[in-house]
Amino acid sequence: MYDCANNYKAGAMQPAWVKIGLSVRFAQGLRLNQEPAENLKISEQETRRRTFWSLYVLDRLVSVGPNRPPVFLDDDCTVHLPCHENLFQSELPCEMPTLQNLKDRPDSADCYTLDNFALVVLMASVLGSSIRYCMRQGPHTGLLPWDFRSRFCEITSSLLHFESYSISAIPSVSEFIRQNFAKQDGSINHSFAAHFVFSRALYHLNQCLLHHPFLLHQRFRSIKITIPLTFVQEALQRCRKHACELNKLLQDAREAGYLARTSFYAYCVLTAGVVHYLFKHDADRNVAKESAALWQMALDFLEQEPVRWPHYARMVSQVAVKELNSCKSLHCSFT
Amino acid sequence: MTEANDNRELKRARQACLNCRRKKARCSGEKPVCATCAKLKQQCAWDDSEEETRITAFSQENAKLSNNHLAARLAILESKFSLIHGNTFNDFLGLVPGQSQRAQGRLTRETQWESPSDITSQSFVDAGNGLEVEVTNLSDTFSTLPSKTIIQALIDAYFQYSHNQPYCYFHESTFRQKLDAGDIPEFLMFSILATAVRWSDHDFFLHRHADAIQSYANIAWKQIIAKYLSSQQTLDISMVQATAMLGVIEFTGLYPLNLCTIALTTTKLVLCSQHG
Repeated sequence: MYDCANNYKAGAMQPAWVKIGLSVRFAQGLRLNQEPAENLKISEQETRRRTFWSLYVLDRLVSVGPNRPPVFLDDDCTVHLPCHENLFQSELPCEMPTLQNLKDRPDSADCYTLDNFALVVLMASVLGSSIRYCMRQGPHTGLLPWDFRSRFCEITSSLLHFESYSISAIPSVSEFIRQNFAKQDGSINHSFAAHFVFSRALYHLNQCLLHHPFLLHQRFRSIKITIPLTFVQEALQRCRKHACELNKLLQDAREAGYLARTSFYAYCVLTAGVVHYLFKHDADRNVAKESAALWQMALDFLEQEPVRWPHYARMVSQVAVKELNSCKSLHCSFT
Repeated sequence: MTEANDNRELKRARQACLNCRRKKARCSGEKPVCATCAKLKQQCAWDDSEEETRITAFSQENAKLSNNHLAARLAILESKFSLIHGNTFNDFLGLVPGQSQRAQGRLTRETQWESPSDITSQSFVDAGNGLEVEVTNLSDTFSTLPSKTIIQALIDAYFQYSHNQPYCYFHESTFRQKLDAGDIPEFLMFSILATAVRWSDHDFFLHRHADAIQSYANIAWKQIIAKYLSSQQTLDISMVQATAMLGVIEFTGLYPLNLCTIALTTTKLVLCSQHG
């Protein structure tokens, strides 16, 4: 069932897992998942928090592969979320909620002043849940996805919270970036803008994965009753919508002068690209045309970004096309 | 089947399907149906036992190493192993490292990218608690910290291109103060340099980014392991930061392909499970 070459390639990442695993153990040994001692300097306390959350995000990002569950459990992370970047740089104190606070009381007042890094953490947490839900092998267990009490709906509502916490109604991402993250000379301060763009990218990725036609099909195979057509149609619509939004986000960011350097963007773009590739053959010609263009944009992105890795990027896009073309069941009807 | 054959334009599989084997024809190797069988509309079947034997042998070798309870040795060996097979994958796709890229209206300058030099020999000496790794053919240029000017430039590059994208390990002004005071542990220095080298246009790294990254990362890793395995373990946050950075380098720095391979593996997994 697996392509053996891909399996083997995954084995070549063994050293990476060892290092990340060791880092996690060091962090646990230092109890970075708990609030730091109050007698430490404010900047040092916050550095410890941010180091922990960085490792948490890393742990979630590398766990998108099969058979790689994340190490940190959300329940164990009692340290407060990262504070605002400005306050961090100025070494000023700030009381932030914990991840559990956000889950228990999503509508409490503190939740509306989250820093973009905190939003990245939130989306990484949801990514862990989405991946575990979508990729789980074996027959479907638990409540049906269209049951409002189900895990599926729980994850969907976490994603909706993101829309409340972040500034979702932005007419133009590029304008927003220029207004908020530009330096005096007009260039973009990447370390300020990064979490803003990344949190939104993760949001769209989560939506794509949760409503992905392949992954849903995989889950549904074992369900005996007829899948409601409405559910399927809405899921496909959402998947496509967020794949388009992801493309648009990165395009707008680029227009504003922001370059998406984080490697993980390649995964996001490829996921969105696969969705566009599927919709290239849609019955609606406008949809098909738009999807073909967005698929090409995804490939172009992979060739251009991440910057400084040109021939790897070219390899990636070649591999992407080769692999997709070799999948015989790609054109099976899922609509 | 030699490596040279993989450079040819026509695709050639590592293992032929049963039909092509019977006819002694060239098999392109696509699964589940190869191009030849697809054309002739015949059932394409594969013998998986060969691949499994190869993979079992590989994992048996791994088990032997880990039984020595030398996790560090395993990691170093596998770094070497993955490096060699990284090059093989390049060859398989027929791409020559360092090909010129399209000139575009990009906002940053590009550097010619190249693969790491072949590692011809590394000797391992078990020295009691620690591990000594002698790197015999990577030049001495990257076996020590570079000059202060270069370090400064790399730190600037780190804060511009890596910091917060998306990982945040440092409070910038505090870090720079510590740097000036010489309070940054060497393994952390090397980890940061290894992360930042890819953004550097400095002549010092010209055409040798991959060598520098690999060398700095190896030195940092060796120091961390030695410190961790020494009798006076003093766990410090810098060890968390450094190890995480090295993990990221390994995962995406030399092999950004990995993430996309995961994405594609997942896609194929789902598609093939539908199919078969």
